[in-house]
Amino acid sequence: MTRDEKLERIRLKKLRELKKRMHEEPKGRPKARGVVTLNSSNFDDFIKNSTVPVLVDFWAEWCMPCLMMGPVLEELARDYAGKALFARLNVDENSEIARRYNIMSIPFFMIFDGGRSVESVRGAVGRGPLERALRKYVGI
Amino acid sequence: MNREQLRELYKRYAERKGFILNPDKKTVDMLLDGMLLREKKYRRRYCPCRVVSGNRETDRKVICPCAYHLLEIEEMGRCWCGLFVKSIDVMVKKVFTPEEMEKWEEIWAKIDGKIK
Repeated sequence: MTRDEKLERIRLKKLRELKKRMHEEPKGRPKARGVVTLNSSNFDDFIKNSTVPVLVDFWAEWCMPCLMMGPVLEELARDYAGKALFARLNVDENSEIARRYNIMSIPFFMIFDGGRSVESVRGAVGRGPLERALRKYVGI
Repeated sequence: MNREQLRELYKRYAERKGFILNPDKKTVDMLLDGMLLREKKYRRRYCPCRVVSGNRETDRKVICPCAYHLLEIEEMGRCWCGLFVKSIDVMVKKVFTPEEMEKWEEIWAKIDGKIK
């Protein structure tokens, strides 16, 4: 096995572990199928290590427009499984990440590709605009 | 202050300004709870649909009732988070078209002084 192959194996293993850990949702919060919960300790690793585009939903528990977009994200996660990763980040608990991207209002969606932010969609816009933005990066 | 006291406060405020509190009690309860929690955390009742940036001047604009709500209600019939609505028939739980989102952004930019 070459050095590159070894590194790739380690990277994939790390990503698998990270995903597994992040699917363990905190108690009392509705579990969103196919959607990973990010926080300030795993955000950078998750974005950097993903081999597919990542759609991140910046939200808060008390934000009505955010809650409206929850099912849309789950729908996309189901329909684009394997082609993209889907994640949520609570801005109340991780405000430093939201500040980093200059996010002022929520819901706010950001697509990361190759570890960097490539596109954003603001507001409770339904499935259409989110999917259109995502399709530019999933190679369909 | 508890949720009911806060509801009463915003209800009276809305009446004074010529609009109303969202008739959907469940949504209002959630928003009020969010504000009370944020008040506990930050000592200010920040809008639950805005990010607290840590910049005092920026954050002052998002203390409920926020700097944007009057123009939002006038132009969109509701404020962004849906606490206040212009009238009882305004549909709050709806998604926005790209054109409507542009309008929201325009309102925010106007208030932020980015456009005239």
